[in-house]
This record gives sequence, C-alpha cells and structure tokens, in this order.
Amino acid sequence: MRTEVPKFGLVQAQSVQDAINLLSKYGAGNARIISGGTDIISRMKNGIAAHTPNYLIDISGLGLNYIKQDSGGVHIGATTANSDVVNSSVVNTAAPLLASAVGSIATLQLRNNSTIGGDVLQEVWCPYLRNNYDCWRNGGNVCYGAIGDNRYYHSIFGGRLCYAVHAGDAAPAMSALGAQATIQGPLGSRTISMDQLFPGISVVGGRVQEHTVDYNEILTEFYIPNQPKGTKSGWYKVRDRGTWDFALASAAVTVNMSSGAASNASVVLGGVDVVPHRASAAESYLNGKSMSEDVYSGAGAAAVQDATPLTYGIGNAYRVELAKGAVINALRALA
Amino acid sequence: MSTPSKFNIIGNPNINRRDITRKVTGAAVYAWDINPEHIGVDGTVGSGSIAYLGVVTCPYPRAKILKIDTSAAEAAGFVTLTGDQMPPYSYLSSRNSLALPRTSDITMYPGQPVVAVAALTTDQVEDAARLVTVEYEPLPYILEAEEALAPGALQLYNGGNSPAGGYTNENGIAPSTINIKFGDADAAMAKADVVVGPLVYETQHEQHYEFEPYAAVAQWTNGSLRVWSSNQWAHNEASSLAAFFGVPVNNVTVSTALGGNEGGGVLGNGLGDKIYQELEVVTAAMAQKTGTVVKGALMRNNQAIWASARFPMKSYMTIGAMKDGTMTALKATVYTNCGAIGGSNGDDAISDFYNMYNIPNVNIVGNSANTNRYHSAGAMRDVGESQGHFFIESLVDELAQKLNMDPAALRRQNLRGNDASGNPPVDPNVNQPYSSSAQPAAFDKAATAFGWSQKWQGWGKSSQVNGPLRRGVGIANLNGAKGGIIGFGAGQLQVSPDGSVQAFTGLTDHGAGGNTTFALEAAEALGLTSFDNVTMVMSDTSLTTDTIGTFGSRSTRACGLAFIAAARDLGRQWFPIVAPKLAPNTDPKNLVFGNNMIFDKTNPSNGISFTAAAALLTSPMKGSGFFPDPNNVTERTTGTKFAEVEVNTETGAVRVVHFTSSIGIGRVIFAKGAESQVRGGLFMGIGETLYQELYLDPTTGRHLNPNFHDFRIATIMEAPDQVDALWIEQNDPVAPWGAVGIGEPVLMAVAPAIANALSNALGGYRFRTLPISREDIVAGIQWARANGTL
Repeated sequence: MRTEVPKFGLVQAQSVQDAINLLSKYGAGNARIISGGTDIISRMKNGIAAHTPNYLIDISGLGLNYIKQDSGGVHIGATTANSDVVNSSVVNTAAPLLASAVGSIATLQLRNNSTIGGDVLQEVWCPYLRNNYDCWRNGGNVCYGAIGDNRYYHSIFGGRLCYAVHAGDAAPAMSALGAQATIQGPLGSRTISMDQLFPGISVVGGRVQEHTVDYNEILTEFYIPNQPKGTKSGWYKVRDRGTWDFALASAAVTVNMSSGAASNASVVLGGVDVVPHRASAAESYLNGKSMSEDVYSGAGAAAVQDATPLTYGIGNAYRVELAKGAVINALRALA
Repeated sequence: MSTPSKFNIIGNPNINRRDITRKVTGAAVYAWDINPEHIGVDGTVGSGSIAYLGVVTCPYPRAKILKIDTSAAEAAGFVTLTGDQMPPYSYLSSRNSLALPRTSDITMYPGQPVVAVAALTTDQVEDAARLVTVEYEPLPYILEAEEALAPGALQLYNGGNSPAGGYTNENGIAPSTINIKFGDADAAMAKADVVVGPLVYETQHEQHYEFEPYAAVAQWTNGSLRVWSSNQWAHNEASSLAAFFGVPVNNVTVSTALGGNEGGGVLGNGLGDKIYQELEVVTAAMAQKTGTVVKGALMRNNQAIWASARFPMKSYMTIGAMKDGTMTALKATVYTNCGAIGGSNGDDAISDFYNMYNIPNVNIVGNSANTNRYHSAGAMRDVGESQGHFFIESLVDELAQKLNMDPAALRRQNLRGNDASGNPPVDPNVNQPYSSSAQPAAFDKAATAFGWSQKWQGWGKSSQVNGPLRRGVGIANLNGAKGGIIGFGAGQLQVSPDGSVQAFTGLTDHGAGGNTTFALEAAEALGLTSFDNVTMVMSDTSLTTDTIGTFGSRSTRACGLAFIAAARDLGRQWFPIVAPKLAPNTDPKNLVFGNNMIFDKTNPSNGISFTAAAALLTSPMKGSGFFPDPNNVTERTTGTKFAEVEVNTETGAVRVVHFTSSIGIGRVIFAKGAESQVRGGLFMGIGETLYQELYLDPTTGRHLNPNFHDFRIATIMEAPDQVDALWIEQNDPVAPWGAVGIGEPVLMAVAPAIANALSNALGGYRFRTLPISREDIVAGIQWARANGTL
C-alpha cells in the first residue's frame, strides 16, 4: 500500500505571535508547527495517531532563518537550514563544534531541508512510536522500548515513562557550548540554558516529552556565547553506517587549555539518554589534567561510570562501550 | 578492442550499458510510472481512468478473522474487495491463494493483507483503508523453526508444521526434509584427530528491498487481461493469472513495465521476489470488480507482506580432520524457517557444505518448518547459498583455528577442484562430474592478487595495528549451485533486408544490464562486431516465447544458448539463398557467421558481408532457437574471495578495506556489466553481513523496521577502498561460448570472508550469527580484551 500524508490544513503564520495564537486557538491535539518538515511529515506519513494534526502552522517564512554575530556570540534563528549552519563561516570560526555536530546529521539532502530548531526539538526515533504503538508519546501509558527491542534508540542512563533517547546531534553540541534557547509563548519570551530546555521526561501541556516547549510555544533562536580564549572542542558520532543513521552514541566536548592543563571541561553525550547527557564525572576528571591517551580513556570511563543500561527486553549495554569510545575520540579530535 | 579476440564482440571491455542514458535521465518508465497515455486510455473518470489499489493488513502474527466490515468504505464511494469475493480457491494451498484470506480464515504472518480497497487517488486509498474494520481473534504463534518442530508444538497446519507432501517451489516439488549421506561420518568423526563442533550458526530474515517497489497495472477488456508489472518472469505471471481467473492463457498478456522492447521493459531490480504475483492477482481482481484500470503498488512499509524472503536458517555443524589438515568428516543439522507458506528444506545451502571440499564422510539433515514469522521462504538472490556459504566457510575457519593452520592453506589443501590433468571434480552426492570448475586456478589468482601470504600473520594476530584500529584478513571459497541453466531455453533472431536484427527473448533485464548482455549474445551469434543494429524485443508475453524467467543467474546462459540455436536455424534458411552468390559450388552447410560476414569455413575468403547477404532477402527472416533442459550434468559456479577489514576497537565501527573476488565465469560476455555485478554483490553482501535484518517486536511479533531507515543497507560510504574483480575463463562446455552466470555467485561467500576477517582482527573471536551487529562487534572487542589479544 502506498503511504500518503493524510489531508491537513496548512496555515501560513504572519508572525511568531500569530503562530502562537493559532496554536493556542487550535489546541494541542489539533495543530503543530512545520518548518523543514522532515520529521513531522514523516510522522504523519507513518500515521502516528497522536502526531497527525489537522493543521500545520508554517513558521518557515517568519524571518527566523539567520546567523548573526554580535560581540558576545552568535545568534542562530530556529528555522535556519542545518546545511546553512554547517557552511557558515561565522559558525565555523566561533563554534566549530556546532558545525561538526550539525554536519553529521542524517544526509546532505536532509540537512538542506531540515532546520536547526527542528533538530533540537525533534521527536524520538523509537521504532515503537514510529510504528504507531500506543506508547507514552502516542496517547498510551507504556514504554514498549523499555521491555522490548531497545538496542538502538533507548536510554543507557535510566529514565521514567518514556525511555527513548534524544537522537539529535545539535543539542549535545549546544549544551557543551553553553548555548541558550529563546522560547516565545502566550506568556511572553524566556531565554534558558540547554539544561533548562531539557530537564528530562515530564508531561508538558498533555504531551510526554523531554523538553519544556509547550504546544503553543515556539523556540525562535539559539545563542552561542563566545568561548573563552584557549577553548578547544571536539565532536564524535558513532553510528552504524557512514551516513544517514542516528547516533548510537555521540560526544561533544569543550575544554579550556590556555593554562596547559584542562579547565572548564564540558562533556555532553548524545544518543544515549532521554536528553543530551552531561557527563559531570568526566568533566571533573578532566579539569586540571594535561591531555594524553590515558586521560582520554579515563574521561571515557568516567563519562559512563553511572550508566544503567536496560536489562529488560533485548538490552543495550553495548552502547555503554560506544559512549565511552565517543568521548575518547571527541577528546582526541580537540582543536 | 584492446586485445585481439577470437570472438566478434563478447568480452569487449569498451562496451557500455545500452540503457544507461534513459535510466539516469529519468526517461525510463517503470511499472508505477505508467499513466493513461502509456496504455491508450483517455483518463476520464470511469472507464478511462486508473484507480489505485490499497490493502488493509493484519498486524498480528496469527489471528482468526471474525468479521470484515467494509460498509463505511463502500458508503463513502470506495470499492472494496475481500477474499470472499475473489474467485474460489483453497486458502493456503498455493502462494496466490494467500493473496486475500476470507472471513473465518486464519491469518498466518504479521502484515498479511486482508482486504483490498480502490479509489481514484493514492491518498483516497489511505482514507478508504481507514474506513474498513476487521475484527480479529489473535491466536498463539510460532516464530522460530526449531520451536515449530519441537514435540508438542502448536500445529499451524492439520498436517503438522513440516508438511509431509513437501513444498512446491520454482524448481518443482522439494521434500520437506532431506538427508545427504555418504561414507560413514560417525566412524570418521571418531577417528579424527581434531573435531570442531557442534557449533551453532544462524542467519537472519531479510527482504529484498529493491529500490523499485512492486507495482502492477491491470486492465480487463472483453474477458482478456492485460497486466503491466514489475516482474522477472512475465510468461509465468501470465500462466498464473490465467489459472487463477480461469481464462485461457492466450487471453492474458503480461509485460515488464511497458515491455515490448528493451526501452520499455525496465525493472528497478528483481532479486527473486518479482517472480511471484500476489499483487498482480489482487490488482487484476480489483480491476475486474471495478471495470477500470487499476494500479497497485506496495510501498516500503508493505514491501514484505506479499514477498518471499531470505529465510532465516540455523545450522548445527561438526567437522573432523586429521592433524595434517585432511578433512575427513562433516555432520550438520539444518533448520530452515519457511514462513507461513512454501519454502525450502535447505538443499541449496546443504549442497554447498559437501561440494566445497573433498570430505569423504558426510551426514547432513535438512529440516523445514512453517512459522508465522513472514510470508514465505522463496527466491532471494541465491536462495539459501549466502547462508550455506556462511555456515561451511565459518566452520572451516574454526577448524583452521583449532589446527593452528593458515586458513587459506587448509582450504587449498582440501579444495574440490580440477585434477592435475584438468578434469573437473565430481559432485559427491549425485556422483556426476561438474560441467566445469575454476578451481584451484581461481583460488591461486585471488590469493596472489590479495597478497594473502604477506597479510596473514597467524591466529590471534591482527594483520595490522594502528592505535585503536585493528585490521584482519579473511577468506571464503565459493562453490554455488547458481549460474547453471535451470530448465529449457528459447529465443528468436530476425534479420531484415536492411541488415538490422531483432532479437526476441522471454527474459527480462532485471536491472543488472541483461539487455546489454543479451544484445551482445545476439550479435555474437550472428558474427557481428557491433550491436548497434540489434534491437532487443523482450519482457512481453505477446511478443516473445517463454524461456523461463530471469533468476538463478541463468539468463546469460539461457539467452546465449537460445540465440546460438536461433542463429543456426536462421542459417539453415538463409545460407541456401546466400551460397549461390558466392564461389561456384559453395555448400550452404559450410557457411558460418563471423567478422560481419557470412563465409565458407573451408575457405574464409569466400564470403559476403552480413549487410549484403541481408539485402538478398525480400522480407524479414526469423530463426527460432530452443534447447531442452539438460540432464546428467552438475553445474556449479566456483571461486574464492578475500576480505581485509578494519575495526575501530573504541567504537566498534567496521570498514571493509580491500576485497578480492575471483570467480570462474567461463567466459566474459559483458565486461563492464560483470565487474559491476561483483561490486553490487559485494555491497549487498556487506549489508547482509553487518546490517540487514527485518526484525519483529519480541513481545507482539509485529514489524519494527519496515523502512529504509532502520532496515539498513550498505551505502556508498561503506564502499571498500579497493575491489578486485578477477575472472577465470574456464570455458564451460555446456554454456554459450563457455559463459556461466555470476549474478548470485558474486554475493555468495562475501559474508564468511568478512566474518572471518573480523575474527582475525579481534584475536580469533568467532561471529556465528548474521548480521554481525555493532553489539556483536563490541562483544568481540571485549572478549579479545579479556583474552589479552587486544
């Protein structure tokens, strides 16, 4: 059977405020925003019940595609195409870590169409959700992944309710870079850290999700602060094949080496937890140390020391090793 | 031509694919692309329009259909079709009877279609499907073959889970169990110095997932059926449709896409699944019911529901040998998971076990079992021999490890190949000689090109260490049952007075360059050094005669033999017209085609150009060629493959660095096409070894990855740095110009070569299950670390 996108109404929002009003007016189950469309369209095409709204509010024409630099850092509009981020000389100079991470998203064709905001707020790629099982994110009250096939897309750091990992590549890099996100909603605008954006699984506006953006809110901008002089960064993504796949594990690292020894280390894992996973033990381990192969391995081990892979269902302990390998390779790539 | 050849055109290294431009420019019309203008209807709603087919599928592995309610869909103006409305048939009696079950029937696999719907647009089809409700009673189910055959197992069929009557497959009736036995395996095993096993090897369930999904367009006109579809065997499809609908076969016309000539008969690859026709049966039934043209297609998420599959196999293997490496005994018990209907007792895989090496004592049992895992065991590029090669060539590698012998040397020592005077080896089961073998020449050529003796460092030693990167090398021999003739062949060659040639074959080009190969064969048979004036007419039952389909790596051989016979028949008619124009008393029986001439083989200067000879004709002249199914000959395709892999021991990432393939092709016909087959087979092999698996949720038995994202195939990023495509032209005597088929042999032995190389990279850890996932690689790394080899 051919799989078609069900009929929907496409509404061109005139402004961010207009989009917020429309989302509020239509209600949580009835409308979602669209920009690049690479995720929401595939969910609708696959007939995921709770992800098939009657209306899509198009925010791609609201002037949110920009990369601007000011004295403090770089502003990136949420609907900026991922390939524009990868190719931006501003980003490559000020935050090469982000350019590397975004450059490893999916495929070139998908990076051309998808947006940076869409990558950060993407829905999980859990096979149960994507096959329309009635899981937490699809109107049900069970996590099939926690007890079933959790080899690829479920947490090795525990969880509650939904155990599916945040699969994006941009968010771990932004988290390591200390980025902030601006969210506009009916109550106004707020600018928060990535840790605040991703507190973990909770129910937000009736939806089970890992981030705090409500159904009638719009993430409009990321701000990447300038990194202190002497900061080095590295990105490494472990995936099954050389392209296309989500991370089996990834690592984004920033560390200041101006004194010769590490300081202000930031180590964030992707693809292994329901949110970008800050590996605090690895950060503490690194601070004060000179870089060496032994230190890379020590940091890798520290990053996964509190891992609790799933033991129900098929299990995913092997990805603990991969997360460790991602950290080692990200550190080796520091530049 | 770069080198002088005794042939007119075959083997010319400069020949390019004839269809490449229309394929890369998008001009080729595939079955799904067929629109009203292609088939002569005017597009008006009603009789002139094309309606679209959709299906409602059962999510459960096994369920009783309690009630089918199509009233809402009908009330909304859609057409629905249930099994109750199909022509009468005995459910589960054949593949096509499985097309749509009826109320109170029991569905047999997850995703089984239950109701068909039709609408005027593809998105309305989705709406129509959503309006159909089916009530099921989910029933217990079986997913594994051994479980199905265990005492007290749930009985899926009244006759048990391994029907005593056997299965009908494309080769006829195959028994449901098989026992190959010669010598005394138990006694030899008891006397062996070293016994390895029983070891358990397993392979996965895979679907074909060609880039072109299945599609069919069906039209009924006054009791005659016309079908344009994605198929590898149009004539068989016409016979099946005629039988199902109870009409004479001459009232059914089937083509591959638009068919008719080589530009019309395009197929976006057919890896075996496109010899079946469930989709066509239901599409035609819907066309009959609606009275309009109906187009049906199965998109990615449903591509497994009416398809055969790479069947999961499990094998318990034991091998015995003497200290000097002489193999003495082989025992195996094989389980084939045949899915809901039809299948295999593993005979193809088992034939690989006992043919590969000179092992005098063999006892192998093959068991088949029906399960609720998937539709049916059946054709998928090499039908069981990817699995068979993985089993035997993994086991032999483990024997080399136990003996602490160079695994290449052990294989070379025991290899079943030509004897010292070049006589081909004997198939030890049927006790008849091979038509030809490329061994041991293929082995030696590959070993030298790969540089095995420089790369192999011994057991437990990676071939190269570079920080966290470990390289390993592996070898696997090829001895496969595909590439032979399989049945009869037929074809026709027609020459026109202007010297142009039409070549007729019932075969289709399933995407691998067959139309180029076939045109080369037509030109060669007629002694032409160019095929520019040769037009292929193929892929269409109204224009060609059946020559059995394009599968089993048979088409190069089948087409060439038919065209050689057709050229002979053409000469019988044409040469008596030509002879009077040559030297006095020229005997037409001495005339032959060659070098763009028709000439006297007793006096080559006594000849006339092909074009001038054609001008002697007053109307087109056609020669018909036929050859019968040859008996009393064992046809095996032989060769050797080497792989060098690199494992990142921190991330488990695997890269195939270098791959050497050496195959006894008999004779190269289409040189670039043959090399392209090696690369294509290698890509598919890399995918099957490392990624590809269609998996079910362990608790509900439902599909979890019916899509190209999670059913991972190798991408261009997985391309090895170096691929060597080597050939042995051993000139097979029962093949046209000596050429045997290699479309499936290019895939066989890829998996064990890579698996053995991975083992070498990781200190001797063994990978006994396909695919070798990242999780398995990590287990190997941890094992090697624990054993001090990493």
